[in-house]
Amino acid sequence: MTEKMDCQTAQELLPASGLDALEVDEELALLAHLQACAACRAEANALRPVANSLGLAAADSGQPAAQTRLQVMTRIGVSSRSQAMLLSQRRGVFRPIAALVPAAIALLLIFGLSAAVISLQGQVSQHQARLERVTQQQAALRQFMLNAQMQPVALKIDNPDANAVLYAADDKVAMAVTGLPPLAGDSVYQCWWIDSKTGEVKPGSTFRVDANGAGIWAWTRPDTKEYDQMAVTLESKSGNTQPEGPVLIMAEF
Amino acid sequence: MDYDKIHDVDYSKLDDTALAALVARRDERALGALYDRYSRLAFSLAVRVVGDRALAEEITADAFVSVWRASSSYSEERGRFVSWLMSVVRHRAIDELRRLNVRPEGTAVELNEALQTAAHPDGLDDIVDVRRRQEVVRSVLAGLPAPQRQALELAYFGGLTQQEIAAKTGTPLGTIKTRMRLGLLKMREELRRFDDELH
Repeated sequence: MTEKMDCQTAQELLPASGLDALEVDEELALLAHLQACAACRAEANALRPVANSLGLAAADSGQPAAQTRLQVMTRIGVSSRSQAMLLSQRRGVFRPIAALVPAAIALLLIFGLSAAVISLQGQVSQHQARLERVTQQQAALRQFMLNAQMQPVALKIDNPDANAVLYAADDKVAMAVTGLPPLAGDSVYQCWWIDSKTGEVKPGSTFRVDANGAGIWAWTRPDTKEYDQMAVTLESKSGNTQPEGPVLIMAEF
Repeated sequence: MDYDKIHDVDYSKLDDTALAALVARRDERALGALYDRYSRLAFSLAVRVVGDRALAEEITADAFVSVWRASSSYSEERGRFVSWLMSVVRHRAIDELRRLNVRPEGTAVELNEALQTAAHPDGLDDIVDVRRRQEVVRSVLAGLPAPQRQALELAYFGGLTQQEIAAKTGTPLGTIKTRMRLGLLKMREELRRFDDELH
């Protein structure tokens, strides 16, 4: 989808976007429009909390088990102590970055921008003006991610037709890919978290790509201390507890 | 707020914004207070999405740890804390759902059950507000035409795209888009009315 989207179309897509119910190509086109249109962006920001409020409709399931609270407090306690020194240094240097990751839509905007940049890269030789814009977007993307304390991660991509970018923060990663081979049957792409010291592999999310082999994802990192690598494999089915298919993308944090 | 003089304060009486600000300053008691306030809501949403209590507890824990880690990215301008929290829980739950390759059947919310108000901690404005907002959301959802409600639920709780919903329900894609849009806009209208009455 390369044609510019008008505001009417964008407005029609916004409710579904708020529910994360658009296809990737629709989301990308919408995000490109939102980047340029303050009015629609404001509408998107207004609709997102409305969509999120649907969670309040979930029937009451009672309290989680008591050990869940203990687990949370233990995990943040460990995290807090390990980061205390770093945070005390940062506090004097960095301002609060409320504007950097202001909402899920903003994060999606960046991920979408990233994938849009990738998908455009194959056409830049024919569209010099677009190249200039893409370069500007890449610079903006890079700056945004740096401001958000998300860092680009070097990738090994074992497929000449594929391209990917990955950004990582302490607790999450964001990846955009294009050109991955289409999936057949029950096959899926799967992310794996790897502890290179012990060789332990923890299964992560499975995902599919659109007709262009493209997609955008954000995942929570399971444990930044232990899992220092991430791999994407092509699996014949979901549910594998160990990788069985070929490694397509490899990242080292 | 003078954060350095807050040690003697009863955290359960602080509002969400103050607690979130303290969490951003790595105050573990503040996160504990938010957990006590909203873990039940978060857990209920996780159960609704994944249909498994043990897994939902794991998701709930992960969500609060994510709140801890990402607290500096939250500000009041982004909306209510509880809305942000529900978004974190929902995305974590949908992620798990996709990892397991399990799709819920999208059964409608059991409205009689849903309309029973859950027990909540003692009354703070935020809690009362959330409880009333919960009633509004449930009421609006119950009042929507069934196809609109189904489209919203399959997207929100099932993590399905419009195309997937169309395929699953055997409904034209354009119809699904219309239902989803009308349903969510109706929800916004009612929540706006609620907010206007509240303030």
